[in-house]
Amino acid sequence: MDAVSETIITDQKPTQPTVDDPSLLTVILDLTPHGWFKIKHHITVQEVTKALLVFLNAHLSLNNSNQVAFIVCSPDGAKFLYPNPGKNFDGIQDNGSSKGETGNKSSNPNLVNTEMYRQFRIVDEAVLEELNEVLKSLSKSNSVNKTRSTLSGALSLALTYTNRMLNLDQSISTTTASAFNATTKSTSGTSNVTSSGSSASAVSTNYTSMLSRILVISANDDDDVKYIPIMNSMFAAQKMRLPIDVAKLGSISSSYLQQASDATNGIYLQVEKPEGLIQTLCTAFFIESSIRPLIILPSNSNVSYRASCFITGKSVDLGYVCSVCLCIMSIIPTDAKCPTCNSHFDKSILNQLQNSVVLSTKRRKIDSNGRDTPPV
Amino acid sequence: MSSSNLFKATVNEHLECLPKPIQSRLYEAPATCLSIYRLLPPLAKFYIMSMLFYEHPIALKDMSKWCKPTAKKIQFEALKRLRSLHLIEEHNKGSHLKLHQTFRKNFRDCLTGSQTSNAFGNLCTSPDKNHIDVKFLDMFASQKWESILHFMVGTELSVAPSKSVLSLLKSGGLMEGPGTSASNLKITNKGFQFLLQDVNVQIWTLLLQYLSLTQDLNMDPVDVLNFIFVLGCLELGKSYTVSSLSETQISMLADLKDYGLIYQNHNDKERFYPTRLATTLTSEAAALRTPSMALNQVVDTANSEATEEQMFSNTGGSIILETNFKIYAYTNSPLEIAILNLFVHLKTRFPNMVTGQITRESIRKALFNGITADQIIKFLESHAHSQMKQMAKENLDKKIEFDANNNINTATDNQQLSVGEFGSANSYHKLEVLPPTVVDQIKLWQLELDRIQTFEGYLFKDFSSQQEYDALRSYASELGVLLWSDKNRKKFFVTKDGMSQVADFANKNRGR
Repeated sequence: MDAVSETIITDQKPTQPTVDDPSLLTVILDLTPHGWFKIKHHITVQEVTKALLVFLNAHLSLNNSNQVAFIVCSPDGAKFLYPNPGKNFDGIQDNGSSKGETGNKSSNPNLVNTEMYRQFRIVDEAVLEELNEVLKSLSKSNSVNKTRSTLSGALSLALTYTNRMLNLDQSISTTTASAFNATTKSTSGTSNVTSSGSSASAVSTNYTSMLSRILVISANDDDDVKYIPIMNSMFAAQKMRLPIDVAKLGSISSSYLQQASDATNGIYLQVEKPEGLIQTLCTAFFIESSIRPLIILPSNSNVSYRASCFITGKSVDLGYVCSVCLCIMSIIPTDAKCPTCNSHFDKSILNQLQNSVVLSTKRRKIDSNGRDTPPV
Repeated sequence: MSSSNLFKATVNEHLECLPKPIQSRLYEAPATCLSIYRLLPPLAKFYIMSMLFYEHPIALKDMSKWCKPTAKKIQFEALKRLRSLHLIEEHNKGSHLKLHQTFRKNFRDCLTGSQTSNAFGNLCTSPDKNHIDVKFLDMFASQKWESILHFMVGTELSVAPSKSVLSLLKSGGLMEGPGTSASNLKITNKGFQFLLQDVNVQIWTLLLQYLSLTQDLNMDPVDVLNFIFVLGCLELGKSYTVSSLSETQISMLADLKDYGLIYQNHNDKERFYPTRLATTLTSEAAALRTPSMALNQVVDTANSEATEEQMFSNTGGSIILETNFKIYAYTNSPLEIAILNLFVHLKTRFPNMVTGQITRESIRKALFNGITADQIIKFLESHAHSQMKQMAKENLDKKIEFDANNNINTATDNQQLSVGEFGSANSYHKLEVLPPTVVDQIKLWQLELDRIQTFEGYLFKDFSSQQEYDALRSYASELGVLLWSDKNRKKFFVTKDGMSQVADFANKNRGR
């Protein structure tokens, strides 16, 4: 009897736990000139773009219905390079001489090999062409806001686009651009009977499970980015279960991007020597959502969870917190009012805090995790 | 197991069984490299990509460190697949791995866009006199393909499929009968199973059959396979020149036209158009539904009697399945009714619908005919009425929202959740188009028949010590090849595939 009870029969099923669902990859390239200037001895935008295009192709090669989107954010604002509803990319597939070619195309006729696989070529040509224009306009623009980062805007663009693609029927139009065009057409108001019918069926037949992720490539060293919008988009991504991967070029790590990837279970890698970027992209950043549970991800050893001050915008190690709305401040506001919720702070306690600030900080650091709560 | 895996399995099996020199020659075409890459499991794709731009061979030891210990089995399977395709080669007496040189070069060129010209077909530059658009191609493809399927179930057709199709159906065991004349052929059980599959699986089944036929005709299998893979990379609605094709490939055109994979005008033999059936050959499950759905649409528009309402309902399928095992199918196509009749006890027939009941007897009848429960479920799922899908979607949304409200709201919970269950989230929230009770019951009915399972494998016994037994047993179970073990008698049984791996491990241990 005991022999029977000791016997274990393993259930042997040829199950495939990893499904090969189509996935959407949104790449956000931060073009803030300041950061790129700092690493100009290591790598240029051109080289990064080359690596990124190969990376996009690699992603497209994974699966026929895989999709990509490419967003750049520069001080002028965030912009979709691909897909771009304003342009018809089906026109690009014909080579140089045929219809649909405009002047800006002929100025750089052979950006990519025309013999390339069509899916790759459409994306690559669109990205290169648009990127050229963005760079051109960037060099012309006035230098007033050259350090402004619009990463948060780009992140929200990526999130909204992802949401749209997840809720859009993939089976009707396989290429992203045409799907994009189709929806813009049907929502533009003047939809006739047939197009409204197709959009209705698009909503009703949505049952494809699409995976998605975002990759941010940034060389921006300033921590002076918009903290609240980034955090908000981070939480939105968290709720959508959308990992944000971050490749930070340069020697300084960005604590907000680190937090974003950490909270969304993404990969954060600081690429100090970006010369061999393609290999990094093809290994560490090539881990699809479907195989994430299987692979030991490149880990973030120490994420700095520093928040940013609501008044100065600088990150704080130790600061004040409004007890009503939890707004974080590095200095005591001059008008004794919370900058976010306008609650009045108690004068006497503020005075107490101001007087004993040096002494109390050291003690509080130990007591309460570096947070100080002035009662209202 | 979804049917996309099934079709991948059939193609992969075929590719794996090819001798190494043929495989190596296959990798000389970039389009083939891309298509074969797409057919690999996700982890294998990741391995290839990580080795593609890395110049040195990778140590096997390092590679195994990339994966979590729980994923050892999947890793083992991925590597096995890569080895049998000879995509990875041993280097340094098996301690290091490297990619197949030709594959590596061609796939790299394919990604960087520096491959030789003509790799993905030559577009026809001169405009075609006869205007041919996507709609026409869809019509053509559906007409050809549906006529084959209709012929199989014995619908009265004005034109029977061509001789080559008939001989293919016969040699594939899908139909049987004396001679090759159309009237003598009868559908076999295998043929009914074939009908239950997705369009892509069906095409691949025929194409692989075609491949084995071409070998008898002394056609080069590499040429044939390359052409099939190139077809999968072509663009719908564009014409391609015939002149760049090899002789073998040109001779294939006529046959492929019979299957509806390509279109060629009678007068203009210089160009051909791939149809949707061809361009989605290497696509995934999501895109797989595209051909059938698009085809349905086209069939409906072609059918002049079809009312607007019918069209709408048919775009997403026509079957409604209730929890009480009753089934309603809004169809009058003899093909669909014949397929339903395989596993449903049909009761009444109306001009535009049939009703029936799924019973134990009806399912058992299908199972005895060699149809599996998975095939039935898959068929019902892919042909479900759009309202069923919509309802399932709404339920899923509610479920997700409920989970989200219970877990995500608190920040601490979320942290753990996102780390621990991020990847498995997808499997938790599965879209259930069919009522789960029915699905489970169909599976249970199948299990009733499979009381005994047989495995081929090897028995390990006569261990000298408990430690040796434990070490080897746990290694085998980590790989997922362990079938049975008995601790007291120190014996265990592994599958045939895992034998070499476990034996290697045992020898290494003994040497120590």
